[in-house]
Amino acid sequence: MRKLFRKLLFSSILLSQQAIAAPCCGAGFTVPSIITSEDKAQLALSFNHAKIHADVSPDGEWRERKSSDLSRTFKIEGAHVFADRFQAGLSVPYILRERDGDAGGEAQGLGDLAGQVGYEFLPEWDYNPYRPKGISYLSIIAPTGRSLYESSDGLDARGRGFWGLGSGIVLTKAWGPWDANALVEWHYFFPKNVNNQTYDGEVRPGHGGSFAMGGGYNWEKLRIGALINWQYEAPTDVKGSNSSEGAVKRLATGSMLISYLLPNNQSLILSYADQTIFGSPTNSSLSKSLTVFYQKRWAR
Amino acid sequence: MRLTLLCLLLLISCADPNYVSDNLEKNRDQLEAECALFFQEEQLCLTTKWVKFPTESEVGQFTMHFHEKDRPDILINPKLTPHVVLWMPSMGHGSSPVNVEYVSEGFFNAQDVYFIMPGPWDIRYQLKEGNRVVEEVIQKITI
Repeated sequence: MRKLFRKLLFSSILLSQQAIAAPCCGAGFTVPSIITSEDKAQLALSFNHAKIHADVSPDGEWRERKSSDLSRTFKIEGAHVFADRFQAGLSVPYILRERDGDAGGEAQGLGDLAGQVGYEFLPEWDYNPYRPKGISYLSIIAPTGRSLYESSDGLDARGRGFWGLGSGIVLTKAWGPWDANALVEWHYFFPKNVNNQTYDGEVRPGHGGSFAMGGGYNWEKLRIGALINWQYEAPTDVKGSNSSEGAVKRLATGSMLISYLLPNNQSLILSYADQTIFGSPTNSSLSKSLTVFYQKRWAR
Repeated sequence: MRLTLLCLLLLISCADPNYVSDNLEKNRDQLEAECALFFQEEQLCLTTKWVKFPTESEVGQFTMHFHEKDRPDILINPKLTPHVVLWMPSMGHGSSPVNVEYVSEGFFNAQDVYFIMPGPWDIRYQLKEGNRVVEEVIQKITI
């Protein structure tokens, strides 16, 4: 029974990776909803509250935000196994943004939709002390959230605003009460023409990637875990009336999370994420955020 | 194994924040220097003066005076339309549009000067013919 609890708790660890929110304007890449357990389907609801704490320039200078710039994200994520080792999932975020000051206010709407197809390339059919369980995936991002390039004041920017393709690998392993997980992901956003008062030309965001690793300890129905995620984004080049070559963006997100297993294959997770602690960030806004997840799973 | 541990330690090393304070006065002096901005095509200087300096949360406003290099007292209209774009080159995006209003001969008012986030920005002063940028001078500013 205890082993089953651990397995169920462990299956929700990837939810913590979904807390890796982009600091501003949907500039990151959504970590997909992946079933890492032996379940048939899962559905997750989450609420994330993030506040931008500082901005780091390309030369490494940090500026603390004096005014408030908040974002709240409600997200529904679902995934379903459709063949023995294949699964498909969808993520739908709804974003509210709030900013202080002369040009402040509130804006809300749909963020970028993400869909993915996963394949369990390393199944855990027999126990091996070293070999992890591995799932690879392909994902697609639809620019349903308004991008910064189509926004008039930045406040109503709720997505990256480009079609994107991604690919990644998720690895998980448990040893008794301990568990570990890792994720490697690469993505590419396609160029797009933007024509308005500020932009008249082509915006080329290019590629990016992330690497995350984490671990946790399980007691009965409770799990405490930690995760670090490093993100990289290539410079965004703009060609047209306002040309610029951009600079590399880099940041690391550290997360702490507590998971609790509820009856009937349900989990509740509280996560705190901070982008000001690890790595050497550059050319990015850095936020601190709190996320509450609820997850329901259906067994095969 | 040792190499792996070393790599992990390097990866999870703590951030070393290098916080900087505001540099508003320096920015203001730099921006208001006489004929800091020169348009070669029209042989005109542009002198700007802040009416209200923008901050990370406040909208700013400045005046624009076009004149010959040696005669700052006589204002001259440029032949093309003046336009101002706020641009964050490192991020590859702009800010909200600046509203440039004609006041009198060679005198324009730039309103709604708002930078959507702190950091290094370009103020791009452009002379445009329709949608085509004919000439541009760039001034650096840190918000």
